[in-house]
This record gives sequence, structure tokens and C-alpha cells, in this order.
Amino acid sequence: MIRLLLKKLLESVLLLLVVATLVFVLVRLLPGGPFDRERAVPPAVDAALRAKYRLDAPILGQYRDWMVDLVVHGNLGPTFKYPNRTVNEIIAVSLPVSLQIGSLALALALAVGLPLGVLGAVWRGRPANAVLMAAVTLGVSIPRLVLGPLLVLVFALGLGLFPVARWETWRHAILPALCAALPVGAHIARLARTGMLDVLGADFIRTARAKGLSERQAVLRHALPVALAPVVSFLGPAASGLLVGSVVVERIFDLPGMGRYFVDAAANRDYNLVTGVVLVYASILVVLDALADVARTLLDRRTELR
Amino acid sequence: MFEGLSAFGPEGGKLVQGVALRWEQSSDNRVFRFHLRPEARWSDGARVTAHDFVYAWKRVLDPAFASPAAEHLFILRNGEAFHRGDTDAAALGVRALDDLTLEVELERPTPYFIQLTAMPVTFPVRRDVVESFERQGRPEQWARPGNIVVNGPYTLDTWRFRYEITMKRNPYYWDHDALRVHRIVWMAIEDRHTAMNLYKTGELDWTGDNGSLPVDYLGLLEKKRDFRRSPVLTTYWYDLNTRKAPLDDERVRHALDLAVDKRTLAHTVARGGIPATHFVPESIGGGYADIVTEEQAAGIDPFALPRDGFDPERARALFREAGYEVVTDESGEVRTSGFPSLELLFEGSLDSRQFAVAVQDMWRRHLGIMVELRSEEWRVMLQDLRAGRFQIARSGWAADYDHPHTFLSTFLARSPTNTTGWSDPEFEALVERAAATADAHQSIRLYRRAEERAVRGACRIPFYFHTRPTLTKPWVEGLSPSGMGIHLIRWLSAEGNGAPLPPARPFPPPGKIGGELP
Repeated sequence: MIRLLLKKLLESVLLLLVVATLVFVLVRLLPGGPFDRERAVPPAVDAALRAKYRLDAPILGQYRDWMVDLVVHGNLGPTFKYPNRTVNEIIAVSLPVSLQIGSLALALALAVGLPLGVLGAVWRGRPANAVLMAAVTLGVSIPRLVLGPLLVLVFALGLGLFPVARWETWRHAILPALCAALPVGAHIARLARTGMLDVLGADFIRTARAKGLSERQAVLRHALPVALAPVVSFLGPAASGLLVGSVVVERIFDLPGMGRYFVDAAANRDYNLVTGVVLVYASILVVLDALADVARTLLDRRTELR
Repeated sequence: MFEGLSAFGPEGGKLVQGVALRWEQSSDNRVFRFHLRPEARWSDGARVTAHDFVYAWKRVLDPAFASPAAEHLFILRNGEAFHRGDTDAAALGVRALDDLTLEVELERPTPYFIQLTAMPVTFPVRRDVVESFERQGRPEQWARPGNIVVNGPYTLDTWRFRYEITMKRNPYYWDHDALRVHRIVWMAIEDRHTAMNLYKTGELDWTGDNGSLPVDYLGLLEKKRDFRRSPVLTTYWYDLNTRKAPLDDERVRHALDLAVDKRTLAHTVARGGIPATHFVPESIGGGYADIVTEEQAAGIDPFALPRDGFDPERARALFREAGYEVVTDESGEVRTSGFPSLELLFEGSLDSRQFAVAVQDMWRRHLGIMVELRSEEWRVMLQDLRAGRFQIARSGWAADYDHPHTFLSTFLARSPTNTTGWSDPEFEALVERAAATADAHQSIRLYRRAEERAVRGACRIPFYFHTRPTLTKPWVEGLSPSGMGIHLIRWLSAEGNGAPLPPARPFPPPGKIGGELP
């Protein structure tokens, strides 16, 4: 087990290096430079800016300096768009906001999605199931761009239960977390239901029932852990998406999170910031994926860690 | 937080005294001498001196500092050479004659220089503060709360990056007693709908200088008591690439201009623009707005056209003159044969697309031509514009300072913003003469004549002048619209008790400095 974990770790580090290199190259291939403005900057000003941010050096030299800074000092460099800010600083203030909203959303999604999925499987064929599945389909298909303003309209402007936006108290976190959670929760419900349906027909469940276990015990103790496998696989990428923040949710609720930099930084050709946020996202993804692998093995003895 | 030599005043952004009390200037707009206010203080109690300005301006131009705004100070004598590293700082056209006298020499006549002294690029900076953080190897820290030293009415209290900035009063500010707002909270809100919601729930008192409201709600909001709309110094236009056929023909360019109904575009598509038949927004400073009022009263405004210049009949006549066959068939449909293909390029935003579709439709109906639409990501489009890889492109200009020169200089052949390939020696000569004329009235008349040349050249189609809609709570007083979109909190009050404004202190008329530069 330990050897396997170490192997996974090594793989992850290599993968991250590849990702870093790829993004480093790709952002530089985008047409237009970071200092292009509507009012054309005189060549001398552009040259001075490029010199300041070491963009005038040969590309391999830039890459070496940047890698050394990253690996040795953990320093992602300055941003080009926000003078006097470093990428590390920006991530340090924005990531915690996204992590808080994201973990709350993840908890919500699991708390709602899992029970609904299990009930959907157990109740298959009943009218309640149809209602449930309709709700889940709706949850999967309504984009957050629509869901967010609806939540604001009903719960903030209409009922006055929560603030319309901003990031101040715990009450400010509820609506954005809900908005982020619902589509993911609905997905979980569907996966859990499908997984459950597969398992409920399996031989070992029939055996469990034959042993005289109640339906409740058979479902919860024997079927559920196995049925969770597809949910767990899905959770790796889904959770990392939630944890780094969504640009849509952040805009609607005016949260100072990290999600918006995925779009802004690329549009601004803010090379270091793009690589920075992509690396953070990739790291979280890699770690959660590894965790999901381990969890799947523990849940279902039929799979093995490879 | 910072105050320049002059400052935006309480009425329409007209300039008033800032750190400077008065100034003298040479008759060709090239030498300026400022006399500073002896009681001006930094927020740590130190005196504000002419040396603070000299240091700040050199810093902007220092190639090692690499300011993106350096270009604005290229107007200083040797400014551009110093930025290139060709001369040292001593040759730069700014010096402190003593602690309270600042002398500025410019590279060429600059009638808008006074307007520039109210803009951030000319604000003073404290050398000792900046340099002490540089020595510690963390130069970015000087502008953070607790470290920053300012000379304006308010100082930085807290700063949550891209979320919120709060400011409190600077106890050493020379006009401290007249300030009526104690603490300001600036929220950085990216989404227009969110801003509107926060305003509705009372989190915001004012949607701000640079805020905007959701276009789909404007119809509803316009009827509200808190709604205001004021002109801003921005013009929406299309660039025409005059190097390539068919737009190398002036008649074709004019026809395209005449065939668009700008009134409809401004009101229904742009939701509240002012239709434009020329390029310089009419509310701009430097004396331009006064001359427009004068000419309109006398009925001699060359840009006042019936239906804001919409004349499809003449447009078709020009097309025929240019050699295209234009026929109107029995169903009233206009058809033009032999016209080469045209492409309209715009950046990939919804607003630009809607506008382009509306214009495309007008050209189809009134000229019988089908223009192709193409959208590109913003920076990709900039590259294509500068390389001349376009025929018609969505463009425009926002004033850098409150003077018509900022718009008209974009038509000069040497301007990097002039992507149209148009150049006109008479236009250039008029702008040059206007810039070197100290008498504001005469100078603006020359600028107006230059603008007539630009309109005649038709290398751009002006559509409308922008306006800014804002929401302001009734208890916010002292807000007077300014075209630059800059309102100093100094003039505001949030009490709603109708207390009088603090005194504005306009500048006395400038004195004269005899003698031309060697």
C-alpha cells in the first residue's frame, strides 16, 4: 500500500511538471501580448515592460528561470496585470475563499445527492421515483448562470433570507454554495442510483437477503459501499472543480475567489497567473484523484490498487 | 488619495486649485511654472514640495520602472529620450526652482498640459517612502495600507485585493475641515446585475464612476428617482481601412456613413448614446463645449445635420458616382451590383455583435450591400488592426484627458492608434497650429477646423457619444456629472441635509512667462 502511494506521488509530481511546461508554452503561443492595450503602447514602453518582467529573454532562459523559481522557491512570479502583486499572493487570498465555498458545496451535494440516489434505486417503479428523477434531471440541466440569479431572486430579493452577494458572514456563503452544489448533487444522485441498481441485482445481495438480513441492512451495509464506486470516481474531478471555484458563481455572488482568474488571466495574457491557477487546479485534481482511487479500493474489495 | 497640481472641481469636473495655487505659462504652451501651496502636507505631516513632483515624474519615465503610462509624460522635454535611456534625468524638462516652485518645459506645445496635472500620472510620490521599501527588497509594499503616505484628502485604510478598498480621512490634508464624508468603502463588483442588486438592498449608495448598469434593465431603471445619465468623453466609431479597395474611395466611405441611422442606433441598440456626426464629444473641456454652445446658438455648427446625418438618398448617389450600379426594384428593395465584398470585424462581445448586426442591416436596406461579420477575441483583433488586416473594424476612443487633442491626435498619421491609413497634411498643420496657440478660444477654433477635415476624410464612421447611467441614493449630495468620469469624494456629502459645498477655489488666470525657449 505504501509503495503504491509513493508510486502515485511520483507520478503526480511528474504529471504536474508536464502540465506546468505545457501551460507555459501554450499561453505564450496565444496571439497578442500581456501589454497590448486599446491605446497602442509605444515600442519603447513595451520593451521596458518586457525587460522588467524578463519576457525579453530567450524562451528557454525564461523557462529555466521560471522553473527554478517555482521548484526551488515555490515562487510563481509576478503578475503582469496587477502591478505590485505576485501570483502567490493572489492565490493566497483567493484560494481560501474558493475552498470554503467549495467544501460547503461538496458537503451539500453529497448530503442531498447520495440519499436521493439510493432512494431512487430502492423506489424504482414507484411514482415517487419519477418525481425524484425529474427533479434530478432538472438539477443536472439547469446551468448555474440561470440557477444563481433565480436563487438570488427568490431567497435574497424575494424572501430576504440571505444577502444578495458579497463575502462577509456565514450567511453570505449559503446561496453561492447551493448554486455550486446543485448540479453536482444531481449528478451524484444519478450515479448513485445507477450504481445501486446494478448492485441490487447482484448475487451477493441476494445472498445477503437469503441470510435473513432486512432490506435496510442489505442495502446500507452490503450494497451501498459497492454502489458508491462510480460516485467516488466522479468525485475526484467534480470536487476539484468545486474547490478551485467557479467563475460563474463568483461573478453572480461577487466572491473574491480564484475561479475568475481562469478566465481573466487568459484574456489578459497574464502568463504567470494562468500557469499559477492551472497548477493549483491540477494539484488538487491529482491529489483528489489519488484519494478516490484509494477510497474505491477500500469500498469495493473487487477492485485492486494498481 | 493623491492630489495633483490641479484637481477636478465640484462642478462638471472643471479644474480647480490642487497643490498648486496659480501658474504662469509661455505664449506657445511650452513652459509652465507652478506655485505650490505652502500649507500642503503629506499624511505623515511632512510638507509637499516641488521635489516630490520631480521625483514622481522621473519615476514614471524611468525605463527601469517600466510604467505602462510613461507615454503620457513623453511631452516633457527629453521625456522620450530619457525613457529610451539616451539622456540622463538632469536633461528632463521638470525641475524644482525652490521647495514651492515647479518649472516644466515641454517637448512641443501642449495646450492640454493643465488638464494633465489633475490626472494620476502627474501625482507626487514620496521618495523616501518608496526607496526605503526598495532597499528592503520589497518595493511593492510601499502602497499597502499602513505603509502608504499620501497627500490627498483620504488615505488608504484597508485593501482586500479585487474585493474592497476602504479609505479614511487624511488628518494632515490642507482642506481637512471641509471634508464631509468620513469613511469610504469601494466595492469591486464585476457583474452589473450584482451591483444593481446590492444597490437595491442598500449595500451601495452610488453605483460609481466606472460602474455600469445591466442593459436589459435600463428601460425599467430609467423611470426611477435615483437614476441619472450623464455624457462621458467616449466616442463609438468604426475604423475604415483606407488602403484597400473599395474603402480607398472617399465617396464609398461617405456613403457608408450616410446610410446609417445613428439616432436609431444610439437610442435602441446602444440604449442611451448621443448620436454623433463627428468625433469629439461635445461636452469636452478646454473650451470646446463653450464653442459648441455658441455655434449652435448662432446656427453655424458645421456638425449639426438634419436626422444626425442620415441620408440614404445621398449615400446611393455617392455609390453611383463611385461607379456602382444601384437600383431599387418594384418591391422597394435596393440592389447594388459590382460592389466588392466587405467585412466588418469586432471583438466577441454581445454588445458589439448586436450593434454590428444592426449596422449590417442598415447597409443592406439602404445601399443594397451585404457586409460579412467576423468577431475575434480582443487581443487577436488588436493585432489584426495594427497590422492593417481588416476592412471595417469596431473601434472608438475614450479621453485620456479633458481636451479635444486626445481625440484629434488619434487621426495624426504618426499616431499608433490611427490604423486607418488616412493622412492629411492640412489636418496635421491645423492640429499643430492649434496646439501651439495659447489663447484657448483661438486654439479650439483651429481644432474644430481640423476636425472638419477629419470628418471630410471619413476614415472613421462616428456613431455615438457614450453616456453613463448611474444610480445614486437621494442622500448623496454634491455629485455633478463630469465627462472624465472622475468625481472627488472631497465634494460629496452623504448627509442629505443640503449643506453648502466646500469652497472650490478656482485658479486665477495664468500669468505669462516672457521669452520663447532657446
